[in-house]
Amino acid sequence: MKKNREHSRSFEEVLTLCRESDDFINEELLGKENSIYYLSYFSSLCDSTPLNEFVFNPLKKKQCYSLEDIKEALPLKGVKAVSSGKELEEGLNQGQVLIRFEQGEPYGILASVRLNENRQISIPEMEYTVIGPKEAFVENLDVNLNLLRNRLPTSSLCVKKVTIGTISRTEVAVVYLKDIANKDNVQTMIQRIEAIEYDEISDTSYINQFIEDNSNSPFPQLIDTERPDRVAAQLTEGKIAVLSKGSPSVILAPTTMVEFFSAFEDYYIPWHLASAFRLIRLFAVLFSVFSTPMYVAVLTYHAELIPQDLLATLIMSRSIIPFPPIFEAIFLELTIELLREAGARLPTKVGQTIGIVGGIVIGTAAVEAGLTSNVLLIIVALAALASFTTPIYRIGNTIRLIRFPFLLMAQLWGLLGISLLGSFLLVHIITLKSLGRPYLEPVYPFRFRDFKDAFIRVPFSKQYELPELTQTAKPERFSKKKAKKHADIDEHIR
Amino acid sequence: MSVQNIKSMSHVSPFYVFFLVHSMQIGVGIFGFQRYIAMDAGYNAWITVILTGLLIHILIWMLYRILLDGGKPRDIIDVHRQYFGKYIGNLLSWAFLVYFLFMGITVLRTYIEVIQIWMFPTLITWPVALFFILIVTYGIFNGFRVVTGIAFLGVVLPFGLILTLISPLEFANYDRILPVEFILGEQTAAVKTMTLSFIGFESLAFYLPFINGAQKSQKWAHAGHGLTTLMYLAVTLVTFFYYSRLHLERVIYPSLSLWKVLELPVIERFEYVGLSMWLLVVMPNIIISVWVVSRGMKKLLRTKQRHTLFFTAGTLFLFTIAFETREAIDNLNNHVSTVGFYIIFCYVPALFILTAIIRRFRSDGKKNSGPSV
Repeated sequence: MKKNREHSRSFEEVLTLCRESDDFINEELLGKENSIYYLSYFSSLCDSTPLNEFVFNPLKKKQCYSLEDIKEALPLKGVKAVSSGKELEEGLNQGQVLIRFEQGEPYGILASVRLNENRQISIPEMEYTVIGPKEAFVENLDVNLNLLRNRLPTSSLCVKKVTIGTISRTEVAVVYLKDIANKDNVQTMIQRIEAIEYDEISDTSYINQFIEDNSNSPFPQLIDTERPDRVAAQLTEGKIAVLSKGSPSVILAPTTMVEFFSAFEDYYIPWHLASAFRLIRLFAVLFSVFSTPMYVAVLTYHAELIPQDLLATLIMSRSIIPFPPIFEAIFLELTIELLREAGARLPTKVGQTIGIVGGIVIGTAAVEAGLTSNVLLIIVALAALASFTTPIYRIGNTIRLIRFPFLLMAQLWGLLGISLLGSFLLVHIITLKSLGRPYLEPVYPFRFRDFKDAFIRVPFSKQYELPELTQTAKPERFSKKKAKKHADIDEHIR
Repeated sequence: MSVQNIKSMSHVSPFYVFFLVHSMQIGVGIFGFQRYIAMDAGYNAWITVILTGLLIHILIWMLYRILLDGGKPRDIIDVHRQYFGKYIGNLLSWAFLVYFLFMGITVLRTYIEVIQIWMFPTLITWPVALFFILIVTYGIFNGFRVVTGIAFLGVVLPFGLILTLISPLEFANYDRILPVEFILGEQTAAVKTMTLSFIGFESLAFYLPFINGAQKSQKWAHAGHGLTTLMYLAVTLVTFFYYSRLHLERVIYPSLSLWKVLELPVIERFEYVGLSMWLLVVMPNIIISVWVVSRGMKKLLRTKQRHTLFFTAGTLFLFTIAFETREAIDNLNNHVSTVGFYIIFCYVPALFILTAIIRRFRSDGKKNSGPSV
């Protein structure tokens, strides 16, 4: 189909095309003194209460001689005259009703009586936190923007709207704080979104895949979140948020790899606890990726690596297993992946049952039947558990995936294979960028300032600087001098 | 994006010279250098480490004087062209490139050999070499920033391995380095041997123009080299405390054998883990060598670095798999080391003196302006 066919359609063509749908209504309305109005609208898009109250009733009561009269008669905002096919098509598809005097006139009045069906704002499910706000974004763009504006009541909160998708005409909002965000970042973001060529944009995940710096990488380079508090906090750090119509997740950019491992709850609990949990999470990720490949490497090639006592335990558990370690490991890893996929596709209640059946029954049975060793079962289960600790869902997927190449390399070259693939990934991560900013920051390029909120989180009172990553327009959150000074022993600052 | 932008993207800050210098110096040599210097200067060889370290500080200083002449940092190819003319200058530059290529080959082949000796006796060389070179090529393909990143992480990530030096101290005999004597003849011979462990920093001569504010980077170069000296000193001392002289003579890779002493609750033979992690240390060596060669060829042949990179990687691969026997690899090591010794201890000072004289001579003629290209 032609890309810009909506521009080429005439007023009548649009109406003819619309009439083919059964939910398109053409009505005659008798006004005062035998005046007749012709109304056309999609019944599925219009709300019948305001349609009756603000369109039908006023028109019935009043006699209109011109389009101007109709405009005045309707107690609605945004009533406008229309004469081009393009405007008409857009209007009709957004729940507006066309009012004309004659059936064949190529002009009329558009009045908006849109039906807004929304999901209620609910509790975040992907990024649940025990402490802190319990609201999550919904599918409605206006509601989402409202949530953000409520959190950041400042006029520097800037919203730029772009429409993309040739068929879906998805409204995308780029949100940033004008006095903090870096202009280049905003410019790049808007350019990248405007450059998207696609017919239907279902979700911000589509946009995410289009605007990522390297879309061939398994590592997500932009954060997507469903928490308004996260977005608001990140906006104040000079990041840019991208919202889109019909999507409950918001993209945040630029970002770093470390940020994918920081839960937003880290900011709601004291800094030492938060730092400790962050480190545990990072350790969990490393464990999740490397434990099974290490098991395969060690048992296949480097049995000498294991101390005598531990070796005895391992040999005991493996003595009746008929398969080589790699076979055993892939079998178990795949089982876990199956369980996870099945659990994700099923309704919650059934999912739980599947988890129990799969996890406990299959696992125990596999060990008892002598198909896998119980040591490996422990390792794989722990690794799976560890991979769930990632606060951002997308990086969890990456971790699931990259374990398999590591397994193969472990089988091929043992520990050397693991470190070969490890250094390949390292090179890959160094090459990655998020909105043109280095992905591995603050590690490389080494920026001491940004370490304050990376692997650990220092107290808020020490975080007077804004991160270097975003290259913000203003350098500080608050002035260091104004911050509380420490009193000496037995002295008080007045 | 304008050309200006692309250029500044591949520049790195002076701070990273620390890692570029340090990572290039530490490589496979550290596995066995102690034995050789002990052969030359006995257990007084730890003095040699300090002495050589100090001498090389002077060489780094000279190198900076040569390259920073005129304010704007240049690479050695420009310097050669300026002082020796197009033909002789380029010929000298080519010689440098061949030297760096062979440095890369030596490090890669020796690392694989050590792996074959200690971990996998049956490991076939070419698949590992191929995979390794693919990683290197992929890294360089994304620019100097990535090369620097690997150098940085290649120092930072395995840095914890230095803690493994503590455990052999349990069996240390601190009297072994006594009496401390300084015998000039022995030390001179040992300095020559020790220099071989320090070579690699001369790649500075190629990447200096990629440093933002190259003048400021000199202190980092010295610091990087200083850390190398300290590391070698620590390894030397621990080795001397642990091994008796007769024992050391019979150990080919004393550093690796030291790892065997280390006992952890879950790891018995630490050298397996250590050697695998050493890949991160070896990686910067090769990635910088290959970058230098591909960059140099780009400048000399005036073609795209993409093409010269693939050519360099291919050559590296072919040469690496060509050396199969112990003797061949040992000879390769010896030859590259010797050439390296002459390049840094003879060629660099000679070039320094020559450029200083010519500069003096020229600035007498034209009072205010420095030499122009």
